[in-house]
Amino acid sequence: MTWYLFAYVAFWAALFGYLLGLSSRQARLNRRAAELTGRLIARSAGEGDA
Amino acid sequence: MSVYRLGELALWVGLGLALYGAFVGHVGGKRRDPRLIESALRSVFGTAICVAFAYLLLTLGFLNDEFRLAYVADNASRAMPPWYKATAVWGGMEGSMLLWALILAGYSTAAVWIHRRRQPDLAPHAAAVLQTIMAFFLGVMVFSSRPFVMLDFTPPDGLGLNPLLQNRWMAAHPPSLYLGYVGWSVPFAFAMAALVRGRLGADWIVAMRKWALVPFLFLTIGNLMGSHWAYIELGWGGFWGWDPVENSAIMPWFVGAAFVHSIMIQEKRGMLKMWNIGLVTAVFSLTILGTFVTRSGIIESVHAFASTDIGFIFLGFLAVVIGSSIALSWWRSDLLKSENRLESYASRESAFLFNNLLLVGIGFAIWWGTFFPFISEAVTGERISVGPPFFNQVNGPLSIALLLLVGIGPMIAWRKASRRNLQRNFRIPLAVLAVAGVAAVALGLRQWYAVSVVAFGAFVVATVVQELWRGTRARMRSKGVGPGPALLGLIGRNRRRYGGYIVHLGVVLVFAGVAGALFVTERAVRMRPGDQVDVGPFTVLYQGTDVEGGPNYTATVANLTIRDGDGEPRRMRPERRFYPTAQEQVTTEVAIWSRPFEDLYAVLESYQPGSDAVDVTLLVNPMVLWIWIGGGVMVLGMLIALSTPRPGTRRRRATAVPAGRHGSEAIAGGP
Repeated sequence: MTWYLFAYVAFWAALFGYLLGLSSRQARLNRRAAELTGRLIARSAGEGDA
Repeated sequence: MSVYRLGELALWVGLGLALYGAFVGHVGGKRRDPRLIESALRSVFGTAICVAFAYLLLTLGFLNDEFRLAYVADNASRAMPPWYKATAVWGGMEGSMLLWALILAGYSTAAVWIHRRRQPDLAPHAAAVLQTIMAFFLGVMVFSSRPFVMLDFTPPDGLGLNPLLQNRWMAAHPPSLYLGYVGWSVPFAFAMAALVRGRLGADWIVAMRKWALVPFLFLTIGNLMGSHWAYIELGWGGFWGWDPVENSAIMPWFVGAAFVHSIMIQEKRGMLKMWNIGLVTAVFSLTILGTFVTRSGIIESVHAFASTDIGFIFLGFLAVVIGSSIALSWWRSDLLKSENRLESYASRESAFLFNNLLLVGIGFAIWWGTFFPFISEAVTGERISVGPPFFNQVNGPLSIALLLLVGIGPMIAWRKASRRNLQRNFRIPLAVLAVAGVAAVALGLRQWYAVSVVAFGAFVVATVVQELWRGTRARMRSKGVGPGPALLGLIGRNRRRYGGYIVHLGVVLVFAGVAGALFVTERAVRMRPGDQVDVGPFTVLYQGTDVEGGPNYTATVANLTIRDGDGEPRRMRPERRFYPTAQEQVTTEVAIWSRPFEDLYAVLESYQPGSDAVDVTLLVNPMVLWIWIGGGVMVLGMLIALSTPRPGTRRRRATAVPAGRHGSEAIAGGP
């Protein structure tokens, strides 16, 4: 394998890994935000009942 | 019968001619039959006449308030000024398709006319590909998004154009963007023609250099205009929101930039042939994807004004485009092998290779983020959207690496840079980089992106200034002229090279403007008449509101007086406009005081009629002006690069070859 082919493959592998990592993190953040929002709604509903 | 029915007829005739040209172009080109070839080329002109006629008729429909035309009734109203009526033609899906077809007709006519003598082998096949693209768009207009559908009754008035689009920048933005999108059809068509004919040397790529630069120029202008429109019209204070439609317009720009650079490698060294075919296919596909995203409404977006059901038609066409390119490249893979190999990582080829990787990488990252909701839904069943932080995080490091390469690429030697070449070209710029970086940190900059922009930007400016100085000095000595004429002469003699350098200077200015977004100051306040607030260096005094009428709206205008230290006070008047005919929509019209190093940006969020109080958002946006100035410098550089005479024309003039078709062809390097 020539050095530039290696560089080419390495670049795409790194970029793809980075994108996957970032988007998975975003997915986790979205889930966490949804969970917190759900809890807040439940809490405010509870306070309303009280 | 209404005269507007002729518009539909013109589209049908145009479709027939396009299908005929698509077939006859390939057959005539393959058989080398001059009559069939001429017939195919003429079909391009015939289709253009049909499309131009249909477009003119639809424009007349808008100007004459012909509300029996459903499309006119949906997108215009009597109260609209004539200028906006004419631009409302492309306010919706059907008219946008017609504008696409009109611009394609213009490009196709020009390309076929110019290249039928210069590239007689390729022209008929390219005409066939262009007519296939035209047939697709005319097919969409004839069967799905029909601009000339007549209502059974005549409504007294139309619904009006979306008020957000009633802005001079938005009026000019779509044609410019479409000139950028559609223009890539020509390099794509000639690439496919080169694959069909097996003529995959530097010939087609040299012929297409300007045909790639023109749409690249218009994409640049279109993106700048769209960005400027978002800044002054949407009222959120930013110039780029990573909206799916904005992303769709910038993706082809990045991949197109890669193509504009990589053609030089094929031209000079016979390398990257397969890559170039891939790039031109990718850019063209992205333009189709961009049109599809904008007009299908598949992704929620402020821009997805027209929601239609033609998504699958576009995706099918996209599959045909990409599939044909892959199949033809596979068939011609032997002819697409490189004539040379990379000799060293310290070479211009290598710098261009990395520049290409970064540009395409940025394009891919934007594509990934834009379509991630679909990707995630397909893979996990969960639709996950990524927002601006994702795009900033990915593109930050990639764009900084790109900025560094902007400085390295043009300075490094072809094949293999010697130590002497590296020292000679990079010693001073590297010193400037170090000094600028240290100065930025010493002056209080802490964000890595801002420090990198200052340091690497200074490096790029130093490389360009050094090159200009060396060339100017040599010319001053050899010609015995002053620095001004020497500099102009230098640029004039090698417009392609120095035009490129000027584009790079513009890129640095745009980077500086973008980096300014890291330092925005924002205040949201409720103000009563006589209230005063401070924001950044400004003191803002609120003096009550006025109600004013426009041609088709009523505006509530807040009167603000701004002071900066002891300077002259300045008036700013942000508005909220109410459009009664356009679905009773309310828009904000921001007020901006633009200065070299910061903009004061005022948005009237709401108005309390009882107390005359207003909710105002005030932002101090540093360096924004440099985005528009940098964009202008980029456009200037591209125009200079585009003004390069065709190879051989200078020599032809100098040697006074007798005028005549054969003589000029021989010297121009025609086949």
